[in-house]
Amino acid sequence: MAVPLIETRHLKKYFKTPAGLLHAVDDVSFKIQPGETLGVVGESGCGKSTLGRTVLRLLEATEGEVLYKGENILRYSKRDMKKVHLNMQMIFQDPFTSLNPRLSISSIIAEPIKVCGTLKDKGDIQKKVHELMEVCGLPERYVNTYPHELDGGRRQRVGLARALAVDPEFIVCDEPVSALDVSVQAQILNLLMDLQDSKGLSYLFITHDLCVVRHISTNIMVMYMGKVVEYAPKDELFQHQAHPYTKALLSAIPTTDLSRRGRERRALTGEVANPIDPAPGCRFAPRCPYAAERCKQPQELKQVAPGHYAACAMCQP
Amino acid sequence: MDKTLQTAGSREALLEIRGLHAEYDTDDAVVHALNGFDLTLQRGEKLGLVGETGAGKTTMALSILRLLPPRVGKITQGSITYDGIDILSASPKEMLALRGARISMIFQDPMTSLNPVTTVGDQVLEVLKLHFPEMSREERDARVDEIMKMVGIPPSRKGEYPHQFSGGMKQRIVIAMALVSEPELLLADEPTTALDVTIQAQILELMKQLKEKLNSAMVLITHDLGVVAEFCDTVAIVYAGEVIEQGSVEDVYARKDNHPYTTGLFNCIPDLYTTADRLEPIPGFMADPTDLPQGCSFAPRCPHCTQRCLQEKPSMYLRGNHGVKCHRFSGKEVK
Repeated sequence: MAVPLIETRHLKKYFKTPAGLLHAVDDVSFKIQPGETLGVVGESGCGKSTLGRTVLRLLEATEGEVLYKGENILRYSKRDMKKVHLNMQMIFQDPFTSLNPRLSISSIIAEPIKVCGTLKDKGDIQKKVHELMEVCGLPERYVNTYPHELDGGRRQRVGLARALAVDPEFIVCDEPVSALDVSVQAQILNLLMDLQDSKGLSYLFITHDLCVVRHISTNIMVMYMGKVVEYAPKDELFQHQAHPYTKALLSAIPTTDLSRRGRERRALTGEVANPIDPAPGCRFAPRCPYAAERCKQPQELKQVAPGHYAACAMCQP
Repeated sequence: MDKTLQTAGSREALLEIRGLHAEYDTDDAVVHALNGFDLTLQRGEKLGLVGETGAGKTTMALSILRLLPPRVGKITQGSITYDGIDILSASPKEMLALRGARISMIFQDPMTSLNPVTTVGDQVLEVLKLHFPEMSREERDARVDEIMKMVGIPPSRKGEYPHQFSGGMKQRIVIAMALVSEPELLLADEPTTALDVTIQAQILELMKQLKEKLNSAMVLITHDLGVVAEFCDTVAIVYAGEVIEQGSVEDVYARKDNHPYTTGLFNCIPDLYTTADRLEPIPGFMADPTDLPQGCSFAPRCPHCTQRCLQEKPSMYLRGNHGVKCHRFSGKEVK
C-alpha cells in the first residue's frame, strides 16, 4: 500500500488542569490515503476537535507521532512547519467567529497567500481570490463586503475559500456544517465533495452528526472520552457496529422514517464521565449495558472484520 | 383570511392564531418576521413546528406570551385566542396569570436560561411561589421534590447551583421549571438542539413519558424533522413567517403531495438508512424578511414556479386535514 498522506501513531494530548491531567486525546492512530475522508464522530468533549488541532500542530502533542507522507512533522522547526501548512489547512466550526470582522472577504481569502508567500504579485493574488470565490460559489459582488453582511452558509464558503487559498492536499474540517441550516448544510457538503473529486483533497471530517459522516466519509472513527472505540469503513460500520457505544449512538438518532418510529431504543443512561485522570479500564463501562468485571482492564482495538476495529471486551478478534 | 382553515373542531381549540403579522424595527429596515401566520392547536395535541433559522418560529412563540422585545418588535395584524382569551388585548395582569402558570416555555439554551446565583431548587420553587401563593410551604417543597424526581434528578441535589450540572441536567431543570405548574400549553423552543444525541434521546424519552402523565398540549419548535417524527402527532412547516404546510405526521411524512419546500427539506437531510450519492439542496437562499416577494414567498427557489406563483399568494388548500399553501394544489382539494 502507498504511503498514507497523513498518519498518526499513538497520538496523545493531555491538558494540565488544577484537578489533574485531562486526557483529551489518548492513544489515537489512523491513516488517511490521498483522496479519502476520515470521519471522526463523538459527543461534545470526546476530544475530536483537539485531535484535529493536534494533527495540524495548532496544539502541541503530548506524545506520539503525526506523519505527513511518512515524515514525522512533530519534530519540524517552525520554518519547516510553514511549508507543511501549505498542504494542510483547516475549516472551523463557527463561521461567525472564525472570520476577522474587520477584514473584507477578499482580504480574508488572500491572507494565507500573503502569509505563506505563494504569490507575490498583487494582480495574481486578486485573480486567485476571484478564482477561489467562484469555486466556492460566492458571487463576485461580495469581494468587498465584510463577514457581518453574509449569512452563515456564505461565511462558511469564505472559510472554505480561505482554506483552499494555498492549494492544500489535506483539510481538517471541524464541524463545518453543524452551525448551518439543513438546506445550506447540503449545499456545503456537496461543495466539499465536488472539491474532493476535482482536486483530490483528503479530509479529516470532525462532526457529531452520524448522518453527515455517513454521507461524506470513506472510513469512520468513533471516539469516546479521548479513546477510539471503533474504526471501520463506512458501510461496514453502519451495517455491523461492534461497539455498544456506536450502537447506542446510532439508535439515539431520530429518523424521519415513520416505520421506525416505534423501534426499541437503546437509550443510554448517565452522562459522559470526567476525563480527568480516568481509570485504566474501558471508559464507556459506567454507561454500558453490558459492562462486566473484565471491562476494568484496558481495552485495545481489536480487528473484528477486515479493516474493522473495535475496543470492546465482548468483541472476539 | 383563510376560510379553508376553519375546520369543524376549531371551536374548542385551545389556541388559535389567525393571520398574525409581526415585525421588528431595525435601523436599516423593517424585518417582517411573521406574515399571516395561522395555527390551531387542540387540547392535548403535540404539534411540531419545523423551519429554518429566521423562519419566524421563535417570534411566534414569543408572540403567544407577548414577550416580543418592547419597542423593537410588534404585532401589527391578526389575532391570538387562547382558551377564549384574546391575548393581544389582555392586560399585563391577565398575562402574568397566563405566563408560567397556564402557558410555559422551555427556552433554547439551557446554559443561559437558568439564574447562575440561585440554587436549582429555588428556581423551580419560584414558579410555585409566584403562581400558587395559597400553597403551604410543605406542599410546595413536596411538589418540587416530586417534579425533580420526575425529570430524573435526585431531590437531594436541589441545593446545588446550575454550574454544578451538565448540559443535559440543566435542561432537565428547565423542563422541571416549565412543568411544575402543570401548564395546559407548553412551548418548547428547540429543547434539545444544544445537546448531544444520546442526551437528546434521554430528554425526548423523558418528555414522552411526561406527555402521557400530564396531558398538556405542546408546540415543539425544532429544525429537526426526525425529532418531530419521533415525538409529535401533527406538524406545521414554517417558511418566511407563514405555515406553508400542516397536517398529521403520517400525512406529511408520507412524502406525497408535499409543499415543494417540504420536499426540499426532506431531500437535503442525509439519512442513516438510505445512501444517496449527492444531497439535493434547495437552490437559492432563504427569503429576505426585509424584502419579501409579492407572490408565494418560496417562488424564487421553487422548481415548479409559474407566473401565478410570482403574482398571487397561495391560500391553504386542504385535503382532509392536510393543508398545503401551494398553487399546484388549487382545485385538487378534498374534504
